Amino acid sequence: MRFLFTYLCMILSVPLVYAPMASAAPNSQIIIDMANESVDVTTGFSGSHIVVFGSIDSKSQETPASTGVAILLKGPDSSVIVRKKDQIAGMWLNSDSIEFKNIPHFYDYAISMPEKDMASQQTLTENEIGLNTLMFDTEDLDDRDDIQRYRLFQEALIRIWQQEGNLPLAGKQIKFIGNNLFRADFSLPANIPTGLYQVEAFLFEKGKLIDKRERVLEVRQAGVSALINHYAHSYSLLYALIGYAMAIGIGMLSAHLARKGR
Amino acid sequence: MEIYLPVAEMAVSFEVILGLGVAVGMLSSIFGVGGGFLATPFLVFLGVPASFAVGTQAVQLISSSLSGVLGHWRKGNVDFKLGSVMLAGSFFGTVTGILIFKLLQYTGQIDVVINALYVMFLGTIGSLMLYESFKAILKKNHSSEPKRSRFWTRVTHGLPYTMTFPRSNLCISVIVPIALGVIGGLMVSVLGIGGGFLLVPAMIYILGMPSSLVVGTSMFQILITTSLSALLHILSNNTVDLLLALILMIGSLIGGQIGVRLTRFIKGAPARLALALILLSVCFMLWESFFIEPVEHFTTEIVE
Repeated sequence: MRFLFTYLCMILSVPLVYAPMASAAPNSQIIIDMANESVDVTTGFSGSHIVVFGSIDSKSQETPASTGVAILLKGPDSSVIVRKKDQIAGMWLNSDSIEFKNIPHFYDYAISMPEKDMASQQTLTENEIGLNTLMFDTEDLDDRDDIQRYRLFQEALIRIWQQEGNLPLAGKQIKFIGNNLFRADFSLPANIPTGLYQVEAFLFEKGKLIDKRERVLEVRQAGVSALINHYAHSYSLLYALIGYAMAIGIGMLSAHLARKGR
Repeated sequence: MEIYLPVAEMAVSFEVILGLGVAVGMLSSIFGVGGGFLATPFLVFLGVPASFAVGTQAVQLISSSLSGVLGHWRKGNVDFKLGSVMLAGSFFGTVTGILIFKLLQYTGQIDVVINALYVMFLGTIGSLMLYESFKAILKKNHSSEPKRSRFWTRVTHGLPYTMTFPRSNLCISVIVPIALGVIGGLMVSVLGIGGGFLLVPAMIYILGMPSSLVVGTSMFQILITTSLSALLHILSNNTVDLLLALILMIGSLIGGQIGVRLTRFIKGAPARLALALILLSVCFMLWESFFIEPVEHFTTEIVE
């Protein structure tokens, strides 16, 4: 009897849980998908293109001009030590450093209209849309006290990563095909970190965040490359033995050729 | 062609790495040096982290020293007894070196220290060799056999634990070869070089070994030391990329073949003069990085 009651409750509660979602249906929605769900980093990897496409299911009577779309591509978080070289006794040596926590090792974004027209700075910062909204955390509180020094290191990190292609110089443009269909093209450089990347899409109407979608893109080593990496980390001893075998083989071949070549 | 290194997790130019291997192979077959002093700084220059440059170089050194040892062994030019005594020191040096390496990595000064040590070693050896080869060219006396210096004979004379080494016709204290072994081990594990360019003259002038045996014996010592160093780099830091090592070794194999054919034309003092100039130019290149203001004052490093 009690079992039946629980069962009944469960069935009845289903519409309750989904009710708020159902009532949100009249709102506009954004849907995205990627051409590939994963990126294979093989031995011949020299960068890759990521195409994110999607459509807006517009329920409001707004003109397309007032709807803004932003798409983020964020790599796995990592900690970064930024070091500064100073002249000490005539030599340029590493002297000062700051360790930043939880910085996406790769970050790129595409927008359909200038950021400032899309939403308020606060909304943009909350959703990390735009290069200057990236959070730079440190564990060391002293590092945060000296704002000027902190800014200097932060700018250096952005500058260096922009050169390496891990951060964009500016946002990319989202291309609209008709009123509702759009695509954004990202390119990943050859030196990107592997791991889970997040693809986030935002829909703004009149400066308000209406809808948000998230997808995961896996960047992983594949083929021979993945095999070598796996052995190096999981079977270190075997990996070392393979290294020995390789070196001994080539060494003996080289000695043999040297004797014949004489 | 870009090639992705699976363990270092970065892309490098295949041709450049192969070319570097060829250069190293030519150096070793013409001059009888390992060529690590060229490979390690260049790998760092190409953006390979110092830890991976040194670790990977340890594997490539196995192949080059093995081929050297085999050649000298066939001619009976290896003193295994003396080499083994040196190895006692090298093992200690290698393990200490790996620990020093970790410590330097932790403090973030690894690149600076490696650069400074390279400048010091290459500068000293390069200028000594330049001086010596000039003297030899001017005097034209190629026949003089280098001998143990009188200074070192006096310094090492009273040391205990003497042992006889029949192959080298020596009766010396084991402390001296062990100390040389420690230096050799440190160089392999911290700098990624065999250190032959330092050990060979040291074994002639300090130990008084016959110069015919010196190269083979030092290569035997390097072979065992670098095998241990490679193993420790893999087990403790995972900083060996076998794909990178393979490309370097294949390049070095090709370079060795070219070098063997060139040795007919490059001999004796002019060869040493050329090597001295190569050492000094690498030294100058590294020295520059210290004294000329870098364009970018900042560097970044990812910590997992």
